[in-house]
Amino acid sequence: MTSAQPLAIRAESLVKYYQTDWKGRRRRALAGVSFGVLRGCVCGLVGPNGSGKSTTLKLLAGLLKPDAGRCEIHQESAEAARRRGRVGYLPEALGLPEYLSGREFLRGLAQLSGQPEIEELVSSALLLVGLEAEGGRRVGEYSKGMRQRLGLAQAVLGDPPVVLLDEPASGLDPRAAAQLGAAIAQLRAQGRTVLLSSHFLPQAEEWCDQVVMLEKGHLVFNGSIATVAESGGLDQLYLERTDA
Amino acid sequence: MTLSASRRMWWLVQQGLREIVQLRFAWIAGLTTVVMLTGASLLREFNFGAEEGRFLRDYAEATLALWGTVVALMLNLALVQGGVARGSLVMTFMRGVRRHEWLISRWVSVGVALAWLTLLGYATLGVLLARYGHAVSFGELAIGGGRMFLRLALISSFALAACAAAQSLLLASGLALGLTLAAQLSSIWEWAGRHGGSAARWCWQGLEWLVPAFRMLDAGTSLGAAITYALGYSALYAMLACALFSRREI
Repeated sequence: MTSAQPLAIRAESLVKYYQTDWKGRRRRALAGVSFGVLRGCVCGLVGPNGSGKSTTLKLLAGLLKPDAGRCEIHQESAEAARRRGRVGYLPEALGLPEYLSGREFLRGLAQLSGQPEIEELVSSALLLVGLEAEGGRRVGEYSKGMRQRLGLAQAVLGDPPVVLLDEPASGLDPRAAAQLGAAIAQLRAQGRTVLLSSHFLPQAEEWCDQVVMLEKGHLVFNGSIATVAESGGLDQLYLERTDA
Repeated sequence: MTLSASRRMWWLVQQGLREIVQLRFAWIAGLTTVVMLTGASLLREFNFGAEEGRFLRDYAEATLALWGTVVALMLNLALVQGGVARGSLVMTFMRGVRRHEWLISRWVSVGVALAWLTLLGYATLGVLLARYGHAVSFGELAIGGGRMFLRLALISSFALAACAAAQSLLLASGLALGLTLAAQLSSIWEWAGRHGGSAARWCWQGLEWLVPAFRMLDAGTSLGAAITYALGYSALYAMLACALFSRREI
């Protein structure tokens, strides 16, 4: 990414270790990963299990601190961006309150953010993910696909310019995945930047403008989807660049 | 636009209370009342030689202390460990909530639930005493309830610190119960401190400073001193929990 266009997401030499036991032994999750995502792009973060995708997303969401390196969202630190609501995040483990309706859940989060015009924000988030008719139902009655879309709705609530999605299509049937894809396309059309991790390569190829590939905490590929196509497709590239 | 820290915490406390209600807290509280009423009715004939009114008070307080300990531990585990495991806390962190705000809010929510449980327990004790023809002093019940609440608040602080320190439910439960036991057995630490060798004395003395003694909340201590003591140690353990939680990977 050498364009003069401003970067929405910038990861610079990210290093992250996790402590694995009480004796202080550590496991390296990221070993100096650097990449950037242009504003308004949808970028796919791919790689085998344990390659560091979720860690990268958590660092960019400002939920973890890197041991070395920098994360920036629109030229400010990831932590500052998180505090100011400039970044939305869909976690992989999505713990939704079963006893609330989808609308109540989003309303609560909007109140917590101190957003004005809460009802409008909630309605537009539900509309984006195609849940406006189901917003009054209890989350406990939602299917897996609906829960995932509600998770996306909370990530885009308040119109953050950058949205990070950790395995958004995990466990979804083809119809639900297509609805999710449509929502992501709409985010792109609104000029927002999306970084999503995925194990499902054809989906990543279809949804993304850029692909970043990780392997055991190292960056092994970063390029546009056109470059991926020139290399024989994402499946081919994945087999070439990773041990999986 | 962001909310002030106090408003964020107020929102989080309300959410915590809703979660506690969803955890069937009303049933737990109802069960406490049933156990106290039926247990006292059945056992008062076997009062082990004590005066009946004294026996009823001791029985009710022991039931509440035991039940309250279990409730304090379970609620902290469900709200703190459960929140981390389910990933629900991440969505609140993304709204500018800081870790210590989240943790302290959970602790306050549990504290409110324990206050309700204590209130219900002592109201039940009042009913029991009145039913069996014993004098009921409202002031005495209120002071007894206050002391019981201080004990439960301390146990809740232990559980909070244990949940912040340990990632597994079993280890967190073990730590919290260990601290509760150490606080209960404080008279033994004191005795060992007076009668042991110098190394043992230092060890027990250290333990006595680190772990508060429940006996300091008993009737032998003035209510003001008991409140200061319990609040001081609760705040200390809550701060320890916040420090540990700020370093935890989520």
